[in-house]
Amino acid sequence: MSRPGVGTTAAQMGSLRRRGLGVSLCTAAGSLFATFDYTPLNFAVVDTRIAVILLVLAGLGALGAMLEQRLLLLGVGSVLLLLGAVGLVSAGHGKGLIGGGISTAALFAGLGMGFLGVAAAHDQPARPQDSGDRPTHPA
Amino acid sequence: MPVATGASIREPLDTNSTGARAAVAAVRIAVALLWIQNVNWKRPPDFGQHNKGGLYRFTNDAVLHPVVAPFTWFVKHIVLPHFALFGYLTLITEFGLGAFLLAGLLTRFWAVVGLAQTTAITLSVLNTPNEWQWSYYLMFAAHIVLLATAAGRVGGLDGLLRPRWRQSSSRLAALALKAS
Repeated sequence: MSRPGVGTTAAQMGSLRRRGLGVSLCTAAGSLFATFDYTPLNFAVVDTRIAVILLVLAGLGALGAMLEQRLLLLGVGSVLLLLGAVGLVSAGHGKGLIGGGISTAALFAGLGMGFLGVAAAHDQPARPQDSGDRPTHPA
Repeated sequence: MPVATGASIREPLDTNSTGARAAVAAVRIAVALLWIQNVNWKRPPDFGQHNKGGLYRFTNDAVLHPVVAPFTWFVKHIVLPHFALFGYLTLITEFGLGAFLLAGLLTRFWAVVGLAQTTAITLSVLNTPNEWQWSYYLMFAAHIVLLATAAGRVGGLDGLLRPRWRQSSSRLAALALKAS
């Protein structure tokens, strides 16, 4: 979490980079489901096409995080959320519009919310009292 | 070692160490993946009603292998005659559980939804042959942990957005604070 006072904006941007990279890493990790040939570990239906989509969006998200471009993170989040919504709405109509399954759509939606939340949380420098929710232990 | 002198002394929980926080986040993500994986076999538009499989079969277990009579009556007379509606409600609920718990957004609200959904599942299949009843008890336990620890504040969007919501004077922000 950012420290109050001088350098708050720089700290905010640093956390945008760190958190954006974190969500991008999770998005890239989602493509690993395509490599599992073992049903109990296939938490989401990810075929090669979905894996490529996840990797491309993860790459764009990582780029947005490294360059501290909130708009790029917002864009990646919006695309993922849209893909999730389309997957949910088109469920039951053959393979759906994006392929995969409803689990894929839920995965897309969760990751999309992650990108959007990270971008939304860094829309302005936090005030000094924004030191997060981490409580301190009683002595 | 704390000594009780009249009033009881509570040892603080070790919930703020890095390991404990990582464990709470891991439990939240694991529960999210549980819902994400299991929403996949809820197939619209008939949810298995035509071939007596899928969600329909498990819902019908509440009638074939009753757990509590009022719930059996509810499933037999309300749910099954309007099965497509309840199928879509289940689909949307479990989709939301997977997505929101994965993102750690409004986690306490979704933990309560998860408890309600676990209750419905438990009352449907607890007495079904070959079911491992501890699956459902563990689902209850996991959601109670998410609720009690406000698990979205660790590695989730709740922790990121709560300071913003706290600054806001809108009713939505106040609701979001309560739900997270």
